[in-house]
Amino acid sequence: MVSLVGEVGRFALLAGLVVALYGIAATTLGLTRRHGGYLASGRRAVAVWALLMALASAALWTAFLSRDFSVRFVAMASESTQPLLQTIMAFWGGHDGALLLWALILAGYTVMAVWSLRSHPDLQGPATATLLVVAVFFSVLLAGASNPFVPLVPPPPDGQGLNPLLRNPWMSVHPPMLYLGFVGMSVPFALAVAALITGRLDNTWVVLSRRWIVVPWIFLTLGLLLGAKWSYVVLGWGGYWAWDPVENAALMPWLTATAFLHSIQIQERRGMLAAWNVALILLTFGLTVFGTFLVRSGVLSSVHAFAEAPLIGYLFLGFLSALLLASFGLLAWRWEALRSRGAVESVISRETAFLANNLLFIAAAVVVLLGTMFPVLTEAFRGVKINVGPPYFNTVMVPISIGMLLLMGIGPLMPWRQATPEQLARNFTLPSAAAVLGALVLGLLGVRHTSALLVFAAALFVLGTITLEMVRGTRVRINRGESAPLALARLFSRNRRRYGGYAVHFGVLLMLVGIAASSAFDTQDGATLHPGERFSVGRYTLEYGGLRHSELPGIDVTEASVRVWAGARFLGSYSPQRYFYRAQEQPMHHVAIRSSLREDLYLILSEWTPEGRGTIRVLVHPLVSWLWAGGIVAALGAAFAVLPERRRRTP
Amino acid sequence: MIPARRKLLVGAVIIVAGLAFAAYHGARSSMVYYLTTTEFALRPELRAARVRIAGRVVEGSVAKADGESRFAITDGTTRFNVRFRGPLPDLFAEGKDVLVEGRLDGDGILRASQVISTHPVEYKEKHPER
Repeated sequence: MVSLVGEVGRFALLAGLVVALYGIAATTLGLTRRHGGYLASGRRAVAVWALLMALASAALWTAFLSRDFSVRFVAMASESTQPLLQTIMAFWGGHDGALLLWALILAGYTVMAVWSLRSHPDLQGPATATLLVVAVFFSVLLAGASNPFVPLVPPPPDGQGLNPLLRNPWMSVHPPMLYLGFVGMSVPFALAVAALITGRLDNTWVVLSRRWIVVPWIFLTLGLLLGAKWSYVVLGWGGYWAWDPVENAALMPWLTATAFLHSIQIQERRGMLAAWNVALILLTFGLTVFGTFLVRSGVLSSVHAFAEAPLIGYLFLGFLSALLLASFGLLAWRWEALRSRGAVESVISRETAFLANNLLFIAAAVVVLLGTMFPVLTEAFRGVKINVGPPYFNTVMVPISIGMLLLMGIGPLMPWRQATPEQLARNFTLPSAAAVLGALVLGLLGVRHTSALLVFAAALFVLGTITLEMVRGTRVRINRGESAPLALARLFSRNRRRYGGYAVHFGVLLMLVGIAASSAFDTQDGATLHPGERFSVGRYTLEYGGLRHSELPGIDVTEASVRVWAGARFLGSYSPQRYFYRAQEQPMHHVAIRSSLREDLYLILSEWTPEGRGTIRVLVHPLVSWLWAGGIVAALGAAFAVLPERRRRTP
Repeated sequence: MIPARRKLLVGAVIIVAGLAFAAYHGARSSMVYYLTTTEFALRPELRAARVRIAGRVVEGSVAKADGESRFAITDGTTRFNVRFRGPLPDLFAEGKDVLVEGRLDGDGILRASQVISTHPVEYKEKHPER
C-alpha cells in the first residue's frame, strides 16, 4: 500500500530542492548580467519554494491526523489513542519533522524579507540568493537523509506514540518559538551578506536588520524561557537550567544577538564598529546552524556518539564550514571599506559602556561554547572525554551577569563621547545610594550569600537609574503643562525604542534576581511517611494523606494527597502524581507546585510502597515566579521597542 | 596622557584574564571523565579520579536496603558494582541505560554521588524536539 499523502510530501520536498536551486541560478544570473527578468524569476522561485514547503507540511499534518502509519515518522511519533493537540504537535516531536518545521518557518521569513526589500532593490537580489542557499541546505536534508515521508512497509497497526516527556502544553509551543527565533536570524544574516557583496556598507543594512533581529530575538527569548519552564514542571528535579548542551545551543546565538542589538547603536550614532557588527551577525547565524547541528547530530548526547555520527552530522559540519568561510571571506574582502570613522574619545563615555557590554556578551558565549565542546576537545587532544559541570559555568557566568547588570544601569545614562564629573554625579549618586542602602538592609536581615547580595544591589542600582530617567522625563513634560499620567504615557509612546529598551532591562533584572534568589536560597527535604504522618520543611508543615491509583488511556496514574500549612494557616491540598506510560514503559512526574510571588513550594511523589507509604520530596524555591514574569516583561518591552513610532504631528 | 584606546585595551585584558582564571578554576573543580565501563577498566590511571560511567543496569542486580541502592552496570563486556544513596531517577530500571557519577573505592565498588538516566536509543536526545 502506498500512502498518497506520503507521495505528495516526498514530491513537494524534491520539487522544493529543484526550485530553490533554480532560484539561486536565476538570481545569480540576474545579478551578474544586471537583468531584471532573471531577478524577478528568482523571486518567484522563492514564492514557489515556500508554497512547496507549506504543501509538504500540510501533507505531514494530514498523515498525522489520518493516522497514516505507513509513513514511518508518523508511526514513530504518534499513536491511535493520542489526543488532537498532541497529534498536531507530534509534527515536531522528532528529528525529521522538526527540520521540516525549520524549513516552513524559513519559508515564511524568506517571503516576508524578499517582499519587504522591494524598496531596496540593490540589497534584494543578493539577500534573496543568500536565503535561497540556506533553503537549499535544508531542502537537501529534507529530500534525502531527513525525509519525514520515508514509508514503513508493512505499516504497523498502531504507532509508537509521542515521547511522554513531550506530552506537555509547554512543549507544544516551545519548539516553534525556538525555531522562530533561530531561523529568523537568517534574515539579518542575509542582509549583512548582501551589504558585503554590494559594498553598500553604510548604515542602511544595520537599520533594516534591527527590526529583523528584534523579532527573532523575542521568539528566542520566549523559546529559552518556555524550555526552562518545561524543564521545571516536567523533569521533576525542581530546576530550570542545567547547562545541558541542548540548552547551551540555544543560549549562544541569543548572547551574540543581544550583543549585536547593543553594538549597532554605536554604529548608528558614532559610525564605529561597522566590521564588528557584520562579524557579530555572521557569528549569530553560524551559531544557530551550529546549535541545530549539536542537537541534531547527537555529537554530544552520548559517549561515543561521534563514532555513530550519522551522515547528517557531516552535512551540517560541511554546510557550517562553507558558510563561515564564505561569509568571513567576504568580510575580509571588504575590510578596508568597514574601517571605523569614529574613535573612542574618553574612557568615561557611553561608547565604553557598550564596548564592555559587548566584551561580556562575547566572553559569555565563548565560555558556554568551550564548556559545551569540552568533551569533544579533550577527546580530540587527549583521547578521553572530559565533561565540565555546572560549577564551571556558574563560576564564570555569575561575575559576567553581575557585570552586565551594572552596565545596564550605567550605559543608558552615560553621555556619548565624554562624561563630565557633574553628569556622573547627577546620574549615578541616587542609584548608587539605593544599591548600597539596599545591600546593607539585606545584610542586616541576614542575607549572607555574597553573589546573591551583589546581584540584588546591582538590580537596585539599575532600578534606580531607570526610575530616575522616567521621573526626569515625566517632569519635563509636566512643566510643559501636561498632566502627570499623560506625561508618563507620552514619554513612553514618543520614545518607544528607548523606553522599550528600559522595559527589557527591567525584565532582565527581575529574571536575574529570580535566578539568584532561587539558586542561592533553595531548600529541599524529603520524607517517607505513613498516611496521616506529618513533617516540616522551612515554614511549611505537610501532612501525607495516602495514595490513590487510577487509569487514563494508556497511562497508570498514582496520586498522593498532601495537605499543606504555613504555620497555623491552611494553604490547601496538593496532589503530586506519577504517570506510568504503559506503551513506552516510562514513568513521568506530575509535580504539584504552589507558586507565589514570594516562593514556590514544589512537591514530588518520588517513591511508594505497596502498603501505601509514600516518599514525598519537597523543594522551596524563593522568587522563581520573578524569572517567568521578568522574561515576559523583557519580551513585551522588546516588542514595544520595535513598534513603529507614531509620526509627530506638526503643530 | 595615555590614549583612551590603550586604557580600554588594558581594561579588556584585565576582564578577560579574570574570567579566564575563573573558568580555569570552575573547570578544575567540576571536571569529570566520561567513559564506558570497558574504557574505565582499561585506564587504571583514572582509578582515583572522578568519573562518569555509561552503562546498562544489569538485569536482576538491583537491591535496595537502608536507603542505599546497589546495582551493577555493564557495556556488555565489563561490569562494575555500584552503590548509591538517594532517590534514583525516574527512568532507572533494570536493562535501561544510566550514567553513574562518582569514584571507585578501595574494594572496586563505584560510590556514586549521582545517577542519571539516559533515554533509550530511539529517544537519544534529551530534548528530541529541538
